Amino acid sequence: MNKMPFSKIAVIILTAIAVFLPIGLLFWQSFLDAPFFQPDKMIGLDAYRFIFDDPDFKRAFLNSLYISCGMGLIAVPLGGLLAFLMVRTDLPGRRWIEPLLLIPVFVSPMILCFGYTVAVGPVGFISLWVQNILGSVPWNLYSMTSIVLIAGLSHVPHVYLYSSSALRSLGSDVEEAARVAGAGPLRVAATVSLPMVMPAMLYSGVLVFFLGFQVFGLVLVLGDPEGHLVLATYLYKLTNKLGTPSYHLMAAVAMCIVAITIPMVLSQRFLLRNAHKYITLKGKGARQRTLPLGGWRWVAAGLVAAWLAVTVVIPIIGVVFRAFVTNWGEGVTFLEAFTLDNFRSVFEQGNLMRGVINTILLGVIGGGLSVICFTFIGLSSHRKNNGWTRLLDYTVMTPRAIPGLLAGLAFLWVFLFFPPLAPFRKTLVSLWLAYSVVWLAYGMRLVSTSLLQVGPELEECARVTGATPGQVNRHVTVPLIKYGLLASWLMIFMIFEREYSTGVYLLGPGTEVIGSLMVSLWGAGAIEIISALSFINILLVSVGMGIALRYGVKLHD
Amino acid sequence: MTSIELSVHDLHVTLGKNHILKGVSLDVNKGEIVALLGPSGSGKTTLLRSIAGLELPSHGSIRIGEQMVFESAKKTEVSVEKRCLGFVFQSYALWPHRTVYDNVAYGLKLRKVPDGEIRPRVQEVLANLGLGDLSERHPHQLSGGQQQRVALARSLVYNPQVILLDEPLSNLDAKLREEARIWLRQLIIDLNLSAVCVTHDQAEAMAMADKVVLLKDGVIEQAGTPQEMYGAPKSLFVAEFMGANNTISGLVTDVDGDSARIEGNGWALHGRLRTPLKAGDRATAVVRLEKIKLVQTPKENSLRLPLTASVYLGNTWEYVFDLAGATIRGYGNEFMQPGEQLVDIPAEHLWLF
Repeated sequence: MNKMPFSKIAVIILTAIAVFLPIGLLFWQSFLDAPFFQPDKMIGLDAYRFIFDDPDFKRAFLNSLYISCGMGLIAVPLGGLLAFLMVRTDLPGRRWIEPLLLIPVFVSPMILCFGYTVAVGPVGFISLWVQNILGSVPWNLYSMTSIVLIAGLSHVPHVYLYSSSALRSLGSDVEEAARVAGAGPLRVAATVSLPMVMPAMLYSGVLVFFLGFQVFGLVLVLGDPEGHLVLATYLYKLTNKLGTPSYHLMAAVAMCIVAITIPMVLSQRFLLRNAHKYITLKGKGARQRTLPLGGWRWVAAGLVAAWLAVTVVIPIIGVVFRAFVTNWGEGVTFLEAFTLDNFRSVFEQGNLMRGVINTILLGVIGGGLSVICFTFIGLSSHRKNNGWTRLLDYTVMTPRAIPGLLAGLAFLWVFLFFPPLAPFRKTLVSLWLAYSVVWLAYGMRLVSTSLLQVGPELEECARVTGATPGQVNRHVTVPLIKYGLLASWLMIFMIFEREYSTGVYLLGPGTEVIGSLMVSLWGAGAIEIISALSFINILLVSVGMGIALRYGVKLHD
Repeated sequence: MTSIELSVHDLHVTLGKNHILKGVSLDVNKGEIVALLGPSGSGKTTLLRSIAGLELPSHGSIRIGEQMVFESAKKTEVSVEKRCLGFVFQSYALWPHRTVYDNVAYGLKLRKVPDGEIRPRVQEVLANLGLGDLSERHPHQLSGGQQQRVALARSLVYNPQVILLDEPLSNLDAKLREEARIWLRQLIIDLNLSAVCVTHDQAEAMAMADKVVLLKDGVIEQAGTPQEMYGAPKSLFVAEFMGANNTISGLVTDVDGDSARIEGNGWALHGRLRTPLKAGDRATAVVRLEKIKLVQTPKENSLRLPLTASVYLGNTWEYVFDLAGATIRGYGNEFMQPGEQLVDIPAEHLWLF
């Protein structure tokens, strides 16, 4: 219709710089034998040679692979089954299960794993209770098996989100036809419903697989006691291991992770393109009837309850409980140990208090600013399809392949050595930029979902009436998606409250946030403080969830 | 000064890989209403959107009034908002976040009309369209007919010389639609506007327009007054599109000027050639349903056919005859018992293609 105005191209180029400059820096650094800012550096493969010779790297890589595969094998079938039960059957209590399902998505894995150590670790309160009955604790929380199990169970919601939205868009007539033809509910699920949502399942399977390679907090907490490493924790511990910051090695590890995740993200795009072949098969409209489970109803409810207990209730109760006691062990009663001192010390220590305030600021103001940026980015490619918008597509997709830890590291380097940005390094601006880039894909999905709901003729009509493209955006498009943008703000707030790994390398006086403080305090073993911070973090996320539920904001699509 | 208000010349439009318009030329005179008619996928909406500037043609030219708004040879392209057209969308496209008043006033605000002038002008156009007391409502509080009139008010308030309407009546229910097309035609004539109206309903096109343009696969199949289009179709496609017909295929046996004789299995009829045919060609004979008459005495072009059914349609009866396995339908005023009837098919109304 008309050419791309310069302002839109500028937005797209800026976005591409924000995404690709840090990654490019990582890439370049990985081929140097010294930090890139040193004058005597040499280009070479030394960094790769070093890590490939390191037996720890090999073990970390195999563990990452093991966790990814295990996560896929656990999360995909359970997530699919959960989606079927929630969307298509008369499972009791679906209404209140729904928000609970999303807790593992909105509460940081650091907190959940911390909760596990407190509840079911070797001296956890549940472990002690079981020990009293059975004489010993029949599990080992810190084994690889437990780590894989917990990683798998806590990623069930990711699969659930994709499968359930696919199931929702499927007419229930195909299922009813199978029932009439003589199939029982389980058979319907196995032979009709799930095969029809296979593309969505496959998509989420790939998602879980590459999230497996990005796992950090979970193994940081649970892998520590027995020394299990994954790629991200190997990267994190490199500094300690060698005693000096070894940028080129860190960059090489980062490149190894990215080399695995980027092809996965690209393959998702390919899967999404093929997913449409089943959508044409969908029945008439959205008419959906629930499938009566009969006697299976309570079996299914028990299964979901057990999953919720293991994945959500035990760790959360563990954290909350620990936040209010001085110490815990055999023979201690809750009333004796009850205290508010943990919170008192948070409020008394300047850096912790700043962390809490920064987390709130970053979520509320930073989240709002991010949504504004995402809106500009979304508008720059709105109803356009050309080389620029394709560039933007890939730009937006790329950060999904970059674990927050790596993105934080890359941004640290950008802020350290790009002079015009240096003054911002010790301010929240650096964190905000890193957060916005890490969650770019997520945020853009929220914003573009709203944008796509605006009928094209509403915008065309404004053009015919005499409005310039800019006026159409200001007078028609943005006012129409106002509520969608507010909802996106809320979602970004929750995600920013949860984020812990992106801030790790950017942590310094002035840039403390709860998430990165927890990572650094974990190294120091400050259990009480971590529990108190976790409790505050859970409260903040709950406020977001409460607002979402109160105003009917959809927590997923 | 020319009286041609809108002129489209040899327009080609390609959307993606599809060649939608393949050379369409069209003139709209001042005060004339032109209906773009055609089956879905014929390119009629694309033509309308190209005139508005919402699609970019690959070749050709478009002139509105004295201004060339698109010319591929000179790479002229006037952007949508500067073409000063009225456009009524099929869905009306009322902005849901604005009141009726704000919807209508928007075009004037964009044209920097002084504030004091906007209110009286909006009120005047709303009053003209019978919407005077609805100005503070939001679109979702209006009925379909009211929404349609707001959409019209919004496109008329800044006095465009050409108004484009994309299936403006298709969202109204059947009864309202028949009233609205008369009302809409009168309004456009009263305002002395030039209008281009897309529709897929041939009755609506004939009722509203001074000129009907029938599109097929991106080219104009035939253009003319409603009378020409209905009474003198140039092709089988036009004949079938414009009205309800009986079609019979047969073999041309004898040609004499524009008259010819066509024969089938056990029947023979005289008709008029609409396309050049010669003896021995296979042809399709077409006659409008209302031209079929029952007669008492045999005429030059009558057949004795078995009546298989009489169907009551309320205002008329429809008779169904069997002609060598094909169905012939006609209208009458009373119920007829099944049995042999003498059916007259006037030769001047039997078109051979």
